[in-house]
Amino acid sequence: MDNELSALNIIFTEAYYWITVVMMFLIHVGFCVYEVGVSRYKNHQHTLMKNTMLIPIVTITFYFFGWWIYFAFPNGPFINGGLEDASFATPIAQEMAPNMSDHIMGVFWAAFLLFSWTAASIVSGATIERIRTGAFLILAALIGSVCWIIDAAWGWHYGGWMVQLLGYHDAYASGVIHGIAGGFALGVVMVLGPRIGKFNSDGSANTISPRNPWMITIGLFLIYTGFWGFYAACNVPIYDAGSDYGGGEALFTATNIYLQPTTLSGITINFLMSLSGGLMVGYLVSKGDAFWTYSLGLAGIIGASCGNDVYHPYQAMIIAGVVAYFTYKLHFWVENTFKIDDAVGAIAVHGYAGTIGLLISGFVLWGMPATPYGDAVVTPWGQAIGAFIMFFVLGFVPAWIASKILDSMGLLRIPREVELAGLDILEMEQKAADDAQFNKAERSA
Amino acid sequence: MATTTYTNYESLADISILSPFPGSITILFIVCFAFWIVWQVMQINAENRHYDEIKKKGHNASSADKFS
Repeated sequence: MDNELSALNIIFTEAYYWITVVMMFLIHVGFCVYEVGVSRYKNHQHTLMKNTMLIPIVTITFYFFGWWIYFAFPNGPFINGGLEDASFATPIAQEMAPNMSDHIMGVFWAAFLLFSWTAASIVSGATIERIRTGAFLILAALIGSVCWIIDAAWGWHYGGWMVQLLGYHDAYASGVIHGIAGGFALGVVMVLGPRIGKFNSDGSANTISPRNPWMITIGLFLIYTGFWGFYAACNVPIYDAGSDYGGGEALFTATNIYLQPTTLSGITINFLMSLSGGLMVGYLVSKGDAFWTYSLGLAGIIGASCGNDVYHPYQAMIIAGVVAYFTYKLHFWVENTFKIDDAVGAIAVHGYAGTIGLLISGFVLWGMPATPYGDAVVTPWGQAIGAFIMFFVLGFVPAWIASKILDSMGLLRIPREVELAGLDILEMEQKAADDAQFNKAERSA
Repeated sequence: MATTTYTNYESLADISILSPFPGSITILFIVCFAFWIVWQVMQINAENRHYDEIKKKGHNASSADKFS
């Protein structure tokens, strides 16, 4: 940084990502609040701590190996080339610590890390009140620092083989985050089984009402807020696309993760219009139920996200509404048909919504260049194959295998007696005893 | 004696890594990685003891009712 203009560019980029990271922290706050609001009183602390402790576990594992995967695996490896040299992203690289030769790596790493937390936290919601914390944290490391970052290298990197060969386009991560996390959650839940009492002996489902719907409301508002940061973090804020590939003359613009031009202004409109489409259809289809109206607002954004870098706002709104409708219907169809206990609707809102959105985008964006660095174009089949890879190959399958292994070791599900009594029963007993002792001391003082 | 590779800022352009003990990063990585593994094992053991205690006390589905 030997002149003011280049320094301004670098420091602006550094500050830009830093702000997105702080904003995205609200997604995790929202998930914690939301999950506690859904869980029953006897499981509150366990639910909160399970989701909280994924923060350090995913953070350190993403530092150890997750970040390296992103830069080393774009070719598969061995699908479209070998392993890429990513020595700068190893856990012993000097770029991964404070140094004067790089200002961007740390904040860029942190932005991706917050995506990792989100992926793991989505799984957390689906498994509440019955998964062991130890098992969940192993699964969190698997999705947060391995599975999702492989899919990011494949389909969320300008050189990724899915982008180069399939024309996969997923600007704000309908499949890259949400599809895979939903598929992963489904794989875990299929092995984990439903909460005791969720289904009757005749197969009919019981509704386990959220303990505190107003905490859920606050939680989802916080997730919406953090999602703004997520959208901004998916962009490169300032890039000379003109000199790089756009005719040779300098032309600076914001780009998406594939370095294709877009604008922060445009994606802001689309974020709001897709939220609106999701909320409006969600309100109608759920008959004004707060839990589902908020959730389907989120599903609307998630469904439109893959193309929200270029969609017209009307397209974003309509797609979000369609996605919200089918997400809601699919959730209850799957629940009743396959007896899947998706406790917070995470598999539906993230997995189904992201996948449906990708399928729609294949038709809407048909023929659009998928990358500035190749000939691939977006197609319905490319997006469909991509959605399948995200949800099933990198989401469902690893989760199912890992859950089976954990289950065979007796480490996946809490004991039946504990589930019935409540995960926090000992803490509740201790608190009651402390209160009684304090009251006695207070009276005798 | 200095733990950093620089002892002043007179030649800022020559300074790269700012952390102390720059030659020990590989060892620190191994220590931190091992800590993660050990932590996971300790957490699982602690969680097992917690569940065993609940089972030993004979709690049932109505145990939490008096606290809610």
